[in-house]
Parts: sequence; C-alpha cells; structure tokens
Amino acid sequence: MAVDNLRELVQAELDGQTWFSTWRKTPSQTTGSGIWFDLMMSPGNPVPMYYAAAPNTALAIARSTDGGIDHGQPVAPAVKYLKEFMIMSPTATAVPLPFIICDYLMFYPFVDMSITDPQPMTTNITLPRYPTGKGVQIMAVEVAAQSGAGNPMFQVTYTNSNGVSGRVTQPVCCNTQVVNGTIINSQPSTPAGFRTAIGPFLPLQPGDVGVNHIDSVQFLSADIGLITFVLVYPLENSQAREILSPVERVPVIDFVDLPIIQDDAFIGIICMPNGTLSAAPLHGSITTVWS
Amino acid sequence: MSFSSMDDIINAISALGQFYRSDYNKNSPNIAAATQGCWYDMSLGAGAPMMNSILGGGTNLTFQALTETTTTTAATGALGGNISTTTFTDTTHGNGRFTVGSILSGTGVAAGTYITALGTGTGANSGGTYTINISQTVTNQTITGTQYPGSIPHGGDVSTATKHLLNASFLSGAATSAPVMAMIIDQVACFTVSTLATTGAQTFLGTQTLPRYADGKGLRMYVVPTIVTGAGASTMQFSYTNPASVAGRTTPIPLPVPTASCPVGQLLASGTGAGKYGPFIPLQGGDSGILSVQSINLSTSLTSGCASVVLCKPLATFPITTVGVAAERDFLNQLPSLPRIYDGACLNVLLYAGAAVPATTGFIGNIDTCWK
Repeated sequence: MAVDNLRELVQAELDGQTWFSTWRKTPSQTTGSGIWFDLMMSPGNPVPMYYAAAPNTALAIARSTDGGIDHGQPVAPAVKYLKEFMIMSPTATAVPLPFIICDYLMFYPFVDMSITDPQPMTTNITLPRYPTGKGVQIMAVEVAAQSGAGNPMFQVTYTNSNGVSGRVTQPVCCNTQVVNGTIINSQPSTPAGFRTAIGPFLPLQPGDVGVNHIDSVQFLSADIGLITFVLVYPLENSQAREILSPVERVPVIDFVDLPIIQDDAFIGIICMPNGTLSAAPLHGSITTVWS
Repeated sequence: MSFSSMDDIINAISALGQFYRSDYNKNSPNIAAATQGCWYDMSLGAGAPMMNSILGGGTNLTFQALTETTTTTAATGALGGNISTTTFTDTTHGNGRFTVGSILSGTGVAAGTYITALGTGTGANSGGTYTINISQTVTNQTITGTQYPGSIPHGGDVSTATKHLLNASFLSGAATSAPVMAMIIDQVACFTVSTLATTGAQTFLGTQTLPRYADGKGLRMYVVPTIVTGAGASTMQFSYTNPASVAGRTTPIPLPVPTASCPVGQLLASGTGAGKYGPFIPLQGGDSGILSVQSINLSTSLTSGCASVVLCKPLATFPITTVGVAAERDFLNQLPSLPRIYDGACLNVLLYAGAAVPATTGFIGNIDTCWK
C-alpha cells in the first residue's frame, strides 16, 4: 500500500495512522563554522550513538536496537512517510543551521588514522534498508580526536550500488576540528595545498549513485585519532535560520516531497552550525503518517 | 506521459518510487578569489561529483556531445609517461588531451590518481608536466587519462516517462560566500578551442547532433577558459545556426575578452565592464536558441590559453543571500515550472559572484527529481 493522493494522506491521519514525537539534543562539543557535525553523538533524547563495536567490521543500525529519533511502529505492508519536521534553538551561535535528516544504515567503527597501509573492512551483513545501496552515502565521523594538524588525506574503496567492487572515492583531506561527532571530511573551503573541500558525504567515483558496502580504507598520511565510517540515506533537509522562530517543514506541501521512512529506520540528524554548538540546545519534533 | 496533477506526483513518489534525491558538493574554481560581477563554471571546480574534465579535452574545434555518462580519453605514447612524486610527465604524447581532473590509469598507478593542476603541460604537448593528487613513483609506460563530465546525478534514464526537477537547494558555510547566484544548467555539447593565439575564423568540426533539445530551442552558449588566457585585447564573435535552421547567424556584438589573463573557470565576456555580458553570449536579434555553431572569430591573437565553448540549457536559478542559509526552490508550488530533465542530462552549476568568493570555496546542494 501507499498513498496515491493528498486525500489518502489526510484520511490516514484521521484514521490514527500517525505518530508524533519530540527530540532534543544539547551538544557538549565545541564546533566550528561550516563544518558538518553528527548530532547523534551528542547528549540528549534520543540517547547518543557512539558507534562502539568491533573495529573495521560492519554493524547494522536500527531503531529497535540502537534508538534514534522515534518515528513510530513498524507499519508494513503500509508505507510510512515523514509528514512534518520541526527544529529550533535559542542559542545564537548555532544558527543559521542547515541540517539533513538521514536514515543511518550501517557503520564501520574505530578506523585507525595512524595506519597508512590499506585497512580492509569486514562486511558480513547486508544493508538493513535500501539493499542495493542506491542513494546511500558515506560520511566519516570522528570518534577519537585527531591532532588537528596536517590535514591527513584518505580514500575509501567500496562496492557501488550496482555491485561493482573496487570503486574508489576521491582522496579527501581531514579538517582540523578535534571534537567527537565531527564529520571529518567536511570543511567550508580547501586548506592550502589540497584540492577538495567537500560536504558531509565522500565524493564517489564518477558515475556512481550509491554505496553497497566499504571494502577498504587507506590513509595517505598518518595522524592520531579514530573515525567511524557511517553509511546513511539522506531523507530531507532544511535549516534553522535564526533563534526567534522554529523552522517547520511539511515536505509534501512545502517542497512537494514525501520522504519514505522504512520500518525500523534509525533516524538521525547531521547539521552544519554557524559556530559552536556547545551547550546549544536543539529542540524538535517529528510527525509521521502511514497508509 | 507526465504529471497532470499534484496527486500524480504524490503517487509517483510514494506508490511508484519514481523519485530521486541527490546531494552534491562543488567547489568554486581553484583560482584567486572570484571577481564580483563575473560568472564561474562550477563544473570545473573539484567536489562531488568530480570536476568536468571533458571541457578542454577531446579534439580541437570538434563537436563533443555531453551526457552524464560521456567519457573521453587521452594517452601518452607507448612507454611515454611516468610519475615522480606528484608530477606526471607526458614525455611522448599519444592522443587526446589531458585536462585537470583527468583520472590516470596504468600499471602501478594508484587508484584515485587524477590531475589537479597543469605544469608545463597544455594537454597534448610532449614533455608536458602535470601535478597529481597522490605522491607515487611510476616508471615509463603508457598512461591513460579518462575524462568525465561530472554531472550531478538525477536518477538515471526513465524513458518513456518524463522526469522533472521538483526541488533544489544550494548553500555555503564559508566566509564571503554570499551573496551569489547559482544556476543549474544542462550541458549539452562543447567544443575545445585549444589555441587562442590566432586571429580570424576557426571553423568548428564534426557532425553536430545535439543529444537533447534536438531543435536547439532554448540552448545558450558560454565560453570558459580551461587554461588561463594570456594577454591580448581581442574581441570574439560566433557564427551559428538558429533553431529555424537559418545558418550564418552571428552573435551581434564582438565581445571583448579580458585584456589581461582570464582564469580557468571564469566565463569569458562575463563581468561588469563595458561590453560585458553574462553568463551567456548574446544571440542575433529574434533568435531563441542555437542549433549548431559554425565558427569562433578572434580579432586579435592572445598570447596563450585554451577555452571551451559550451552549449547548455539553463534550468533554474537561485539567489543565495546569506552565508550558511540555503536558497531553496520548490518548482511546483513556489515557482511553478517543473523543469524537464532529459535522459542523459549533464547537470552542473554556474555561479554568479556577488562577493569575492575565495578560491575552492565549498558549496553544497541537493536536487529532488520525480518522473512519470
């Protein structure tokens, strides 16, 4: 089943096929401007996700086992949609605050930044959702502080959503931010001597539109620190513009979109603050509807 | 087929899964800070997708159709190339043209190696050197460079359905990255002009069959250096055929190119000075597109440089007013237009610098597409 029109969407809500929940994150980390940050590593509700597991081995992430923002019960064979999303912050340093809501799928924990040999990743599981990997992206999350100097470079070898292995991301350099939760590959502009400033997701090999799993990781120069590679499916984006008013997003009305939330999805948020998020409460709500 | 109602769109997204979200990131070109009032081709900047390395490649003056899967190649001669640390030397050139962004391959060449800057190489000169991104040692052999168009993914081919741009956003968190204006374009074809050190008409070659917008309606033309242009107070003028198949049309004003150098990625003839236009070359009165281009004519020889003439279809524009605040567009309710995206479309971004945007400033954006 699925909704075919606005009337069915309204009817589903009238029939009680809807869920409302709130969330709050109050990061303790001191973040910088223009660098993407994984709010799931911050205190609050839902509880933080620390990506703690056996190093370099894939582990699936799910609502039922790991938490994430509460989006209601499994609904199959119905289809669940993101109906509304709200976010606000009373702290000026946080805004403007673009954010992306993602379904967190799988992660490879504790990749050692001090090793310059290729580090094979072990993948004994399949993606729990979006099984081919089409639309799935990689983000590298700092989980033990790097030195913050030298902008070490790394690249990832992966299997794409067509099942082709041996694909490589462009080599990217790390930013200099040292707090856990930093998306280490993101930075607003390229450091001198390097080539690519990138957003939250690693640049895939030309022609690829998604990642099925990671095969290996290689640092081209070493540093201290540990990172976790997280495979995510971006669902929706918006932004908190200022502190005096919440931002509300109703995808189907505001931007003719109707993001589908898979059963047992782990819903989390990444954001790009304008300054430090330390002690900046972020409050929000989510409403889902299914039919 | 296409959408006939909002319910149609909801059905396509939710029930049929005919929807694609694409997140991308592009850097402004790797030059000195952008000049306010000029336009820049972000496809020549690094990022994800990778830079468009086809521009400036291929065969001089020859028509090159562009799709999201188009590739071109260049190669050294047999045993004609080597790499020492971060320098690739094309000792004996074979064929094609190496460009910034060309992904190198050969025995022992590290995966992910690509050209990040020109040294003494101009694309096809024996002995030319290029800077690459990964330090390594590769002995003399044939080294091949593959060039990609760097298209923003949009969901693949959907024929016989028709695909539309539903939503888009664009922003940067870097200082001095606003105000700017972004324009999403579909790059349809290009011509490399490998020498600007000449005068008179240079005739374009090859059969010009447009891969999309076959009648040329709505297509526009811009010129972008792929190797920095040298000094020379020249003007340029084009001869083209309009969508009504009338040949011999000329761009009405011989446009000035910069008398000093024009950096890679900055659109020639764009800017705020006298005679400047931008981003597109103006057409002869009454014309509404370009079916084919016959020649480019420079009035004065420049000392050096290489440029690409690009035919494109502008799809959408967004003004970015504030650092860290995305420009967001809904093309159904907000600006009813639902721009059509054809199979194979090569989507990229042009940027108007309303500020002195620093080199390699990272911009991120997303597009949502839907089809039926």
